[in-house]
Amino acid sequence: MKKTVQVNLSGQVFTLDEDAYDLLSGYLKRIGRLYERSAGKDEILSDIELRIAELLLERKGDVKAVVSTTDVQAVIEIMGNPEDFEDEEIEVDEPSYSSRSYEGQKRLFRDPDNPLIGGVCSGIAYYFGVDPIWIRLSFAVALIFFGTGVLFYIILWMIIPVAKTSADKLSMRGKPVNIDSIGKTVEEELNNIGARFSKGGQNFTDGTGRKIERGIDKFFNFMAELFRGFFTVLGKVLGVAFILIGVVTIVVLLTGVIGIADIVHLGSHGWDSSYSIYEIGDLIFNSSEWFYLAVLGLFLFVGIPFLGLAYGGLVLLFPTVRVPYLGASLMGLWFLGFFAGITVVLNTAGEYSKEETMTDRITLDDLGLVSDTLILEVGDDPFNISEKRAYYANNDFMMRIVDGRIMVGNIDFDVRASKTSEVLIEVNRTASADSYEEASVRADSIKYSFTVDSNIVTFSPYFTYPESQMLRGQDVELVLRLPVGKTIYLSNDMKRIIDDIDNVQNIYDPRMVNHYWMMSEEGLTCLDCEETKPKSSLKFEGVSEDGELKVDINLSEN
Amino acid sequence: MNIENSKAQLRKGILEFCVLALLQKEEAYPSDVLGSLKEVELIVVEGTLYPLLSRLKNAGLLTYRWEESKSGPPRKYYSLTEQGKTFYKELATSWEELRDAVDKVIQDTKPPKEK
Repeated sequence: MKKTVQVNLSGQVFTLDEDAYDLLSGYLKRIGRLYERSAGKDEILSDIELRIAELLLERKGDVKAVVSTTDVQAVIEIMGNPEDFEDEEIEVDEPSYSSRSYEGQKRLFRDPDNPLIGGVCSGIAYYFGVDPIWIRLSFAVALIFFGTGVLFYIILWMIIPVAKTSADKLSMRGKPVNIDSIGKTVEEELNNIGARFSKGGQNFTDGTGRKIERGIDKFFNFMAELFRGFFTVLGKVLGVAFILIGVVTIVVLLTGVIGIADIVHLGSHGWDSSYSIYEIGDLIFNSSEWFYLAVLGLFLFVGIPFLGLAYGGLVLLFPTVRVPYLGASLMGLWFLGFFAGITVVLNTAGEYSKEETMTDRITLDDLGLVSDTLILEVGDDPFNISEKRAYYANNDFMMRIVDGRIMVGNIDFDVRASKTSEVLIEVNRTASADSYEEASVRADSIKYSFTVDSNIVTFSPYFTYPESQMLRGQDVELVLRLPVGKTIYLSNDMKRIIDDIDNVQNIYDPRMVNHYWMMSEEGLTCLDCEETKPKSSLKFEGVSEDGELKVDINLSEN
Repeated sequence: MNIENSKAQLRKGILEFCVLALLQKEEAYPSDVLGSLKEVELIVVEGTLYPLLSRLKNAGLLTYRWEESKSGPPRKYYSLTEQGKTFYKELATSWEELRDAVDKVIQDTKPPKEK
């Protein structure tokens, strides 16, 4: 006794016995696979089906006769093996097909042929090459622990794709994928599942239980598709973003390293106030070796994570692109950069460890100061600072290199009471080095000047020192020592250098300019500032009785 | 050198031309074409024809119409398009030249005895 299957070939219904059906279906699938990516796949297949129908009809003479394996074999004989079709397209397609296949590489799939529930365990078992019973047992054991097994199973059900195609199934089992092995699997599959010929054929199910199972499976498959679709899109978008961020950052870093870009933009005030890291590096590091180590360290330390990011993005976009050991290599390089950086920092920090300040006290009377109100001004500024930013400019580090000398535009100016009856200016020049001796030599190499013309004192807004002294925390601080009773006028451009001057009215620095100030016993006092009123004071108006025991306390704003 | 492979190579180029030649005479459905081709042993397995027809049709050289058949499934009658006719004419000219050239080469190299 043999089961028969009815199939529809180009509108003709044929009755095939089961073996004949398997053979024919396998044959058509093989052809389909061969022309998978050619434009006329469907047409070729339907034309071939048409011809097969004709040939079968010729052979049997009657549609009603049952087609046997012999008939199908004879027809296949006439039609020929797909590999023998002598068609150009196959030869073009074949190499790319095999390059596309995962040569024997295993992938995790759900096994639709051997499921207890969703085929999760069976698929995992294939992946690890063990009997499914052990995986199922582990899930059963996990069930005892607060039912985590169920949750875990459902999640896996949704995450792991079902092995739909023969190629999937082969990947699941870890067999190499090629036309032959696919052919074999297709036949196996057909033997296992039974008839499901897509074109108007009959669907066989071995019972209602199986149907329900398939229903549940369908639902979870749908959910899984939904989730996968969402996360795939999200993943691709993130992937593109990661690659962009990573690549752009590395390009920026590289341009900085190559020194094309003026990466260190100092204050952006002067036409030549930006320098490449090479120029700055020479001013910070004792030797170029240290400098290169620092650049390398910094580049690795900052760049590697971005390289990792870009790679992560690439993997998100193209999951099959994986470079072995890349993660570990990147990690190693990153640590290398980190340690290089630490070494450089420890070495260079020594250069800044000892600080020395040279203080010069200049009596203005000696410079021909007329004993009158002192007018304070600022001289020519090479840093082109806008009026608006003048006060805040000192927060930026402003530097220019002119004729082998470093010009720094950060001067702090303060006014304090003089302990004597003389008007003094203290010039504090500070620098760092790895020893106090060197620090004081370095501090002494700083040049700062101001001029006195009758009663006008003009301060330079910058100081200079030889380029050979490098960047070692050089700084100049000015203190005007004013005896009690003496008056000064802060002209507008003093904004550029004044720094936190204590005064009786507690007026904020930038507003101190354009005013006369006198040193009193209490401190520096503004002579012509508008009296600022206390914000709100309340005057007591008295108590009035209002009928019963109601008391209104009337206060009015003054 | 595999002789079967070489034969297949020879056939492959000619087959396309022959299919066009058959359809140029009159429209035909694949079984007719197959019959003619098999008769002259230009085709070994029938499956070869279908990818070829599909390719020629997609290239705009062939077109087809359906016709009901009393004895079996409906038939697909193929014929040449205008483009196909031009294409065929050019191939035919080229074939004649080629045939003459090949004949000449074969004649010249044949030992005189067999002439």
